[in-house]
This record gives sequence, C-alpha cells and structure tokens, in this order.
Amino acid sequence: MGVSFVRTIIVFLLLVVSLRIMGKRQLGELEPIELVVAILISNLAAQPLQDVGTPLIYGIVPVLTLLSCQVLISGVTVKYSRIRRMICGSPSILIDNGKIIQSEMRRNRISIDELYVELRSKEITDIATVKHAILETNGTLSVILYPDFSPLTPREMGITSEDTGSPVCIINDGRVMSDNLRLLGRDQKWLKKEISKRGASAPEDVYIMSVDGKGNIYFAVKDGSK
Amino acid sequence: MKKEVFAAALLAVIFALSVANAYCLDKLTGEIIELVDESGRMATCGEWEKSQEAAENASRIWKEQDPYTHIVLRHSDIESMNDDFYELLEHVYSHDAGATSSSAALVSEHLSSINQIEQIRIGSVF
Repeated sequence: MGVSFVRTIIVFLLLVVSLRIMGKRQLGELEPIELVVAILISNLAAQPLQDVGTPLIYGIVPVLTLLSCQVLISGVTVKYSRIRRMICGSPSILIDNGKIIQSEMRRNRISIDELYVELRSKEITDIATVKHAILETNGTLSVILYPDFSPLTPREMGITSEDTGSPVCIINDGRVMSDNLRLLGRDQKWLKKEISKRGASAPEDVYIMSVDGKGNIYFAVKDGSK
Repeated sequence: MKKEVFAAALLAVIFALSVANAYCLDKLTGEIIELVDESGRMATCGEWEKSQEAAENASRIWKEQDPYTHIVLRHSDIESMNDDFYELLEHVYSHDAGATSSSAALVSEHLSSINQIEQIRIGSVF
C-alpha cells in the first residue's frame, strides 16, 4: 500500500517531466498533467479488475493518489504562473507578424510541412495570410490571420479596418503581469490610475485587464469585489 | 481552493494509512515469526508439545488476520503462506525434527519477505 503510494508519486512526476521534455507537439490538446493522469488511470484501474487475486486497494490507492496530485498541481499552477510555466511550459510564437520564427520551429521540433498541415486543418492554405501562429502549451496551434483575411473581413464589408495589435494581458486574476506592463511601456502608476477610473481599488480586485496596441482597455472586475 | 485542500488532506490520509499498514504488518509478521522460530527450536530439542503449541498459535494468529491480509496483501502470497503453515504443522505432527526446522525457517523467511515488500524503503519502492 505504502509502496504503491510512493511509486505512484514517483511515476507521476517522472511522466510529467518526460512529457515536458518531449515537447508540446506530443500532447494533443491536453496539458502534461492531464495527459499523465489519462495515461495512468486506465491501466491502474484495469489491473485489479482483470486479476481477482490483486486486492482492490492496489488500484484504489494509486488512482486516488494520482487524482489528488493532479488537483493539487492544477491548483498550484492556477495560483502561481511561474510554476505553471515550469510544468506546462509557455506558448511558442512560430509566426510573428508574418515572419516564421525558425529558431522556435526548431526548438519545438516542428517542420515546415507540419506547420502547413496544421494551417490546412484550420482551412488556411496561404501562410502569407497568417499574422501570428502560436503553439499553445497543450500542443494546439492558435492562428491569428491578418485582418484582411479574417472571416467577414472589414474589407469585404467595405469598411476601413484598423489593426489594433494583439491585446496584452496586464492583470490576470488579481496578479499584475509586470513583464507585459513593461512591454507596453506603462508603469504601476498608470495601472493604478486606470484601475481606479474603472471603480476598482486594487489589482487584486481585477479578474482580467488587457490592453491592445492602440491603448484600448478590456477590463473585468472579480466577482464579489467592491 | 476547497478542492486543493481536500486533495492535500486525501494525500495525507493515504500516506498515514500506508505508514500504519506497514507498522501493523511489521508487528503481525514479527509476532508470528517469533512463534514459528520457537516451534523450530523446540522441535530440534525434542520438545514436541511446545513446538506444536507454538506452530498452532502462529497459524491461528495468521488465520485470524484473514480479513486484514486479504485487503492489503496479494491473494497469491496469502495462499502460498497458508501452504507453508500446513507443511510446518504436518511436520510437527509427524515429529520430524529436521523437516520441522526447515519448514519453520521457510515460514519465517516468507513472512519476512512479505513484510519487507510492504515497508516504504528504497529497495521495495524501486
């Protein structure tokens, strides 16, 4: 029982690290922790079912241990972005402003053919229409097209479009993203002013705040905050 | 946050139960090994009544713990252990000193091995 418990924790951590090293392309829409739990749980539950000579506790202990580890680590990664980056990695920008970032492609072991496959699966045949392509931490590719090539483009509607740039998140669930704030060329003083303008007293009261290239702000306060 | 607290508490409970299980199994096997060793020693000295009493007590204690052992031990280990006990008792009843002594050693070794496997040690984990 104790040995099963310790072994489960060791194998769980080992698989999370292995999947992290293997890279995002191996994941396929699951975060590393979720994939590890999905891989292990079915096998662990099946063993005592197939062999009646194995006590059920040999299945129950590892399954409960895995679930607890998953819930705990997921909770920690929601709370601490640094730990989340460590366990789940961070998104990789493969195409930035129309330019393929070859170093990122190599780092993620993605060939140009594979990138094309991903784009075609999103009904994009011309790579030149892609403004940003981001390989997310769960292995999926998010694609942002140039405004002119987006569905129902302003051009098609005869309206002049304006590129506002990608919005940058500066407050995430009460936490100030200092790096993003610096990236925008803003400071804490500006942030405080904008927050108080919108009726919140501190960043802790804000659920999300993002700013686009033109300075337009999206703002949502946390439920239950004054 | 409640979920995380529950998960942490569950992990702590599983760990505590594992440690308690390892302790209980150590105590149980230790007690039985002592009796089985005594049975073997008595058989060598020709004290067959004492040898029989010790072997029967050891077998009885093992059987009494059936509900517990069936939950925490592999059933194949339990069956194999039962066979070892029958063999020991058979040799005690037939007053065969050499065979009793070796059967007692076998039972002791088997119990010790079952106990070792359940202890949280580097060797048993890996």
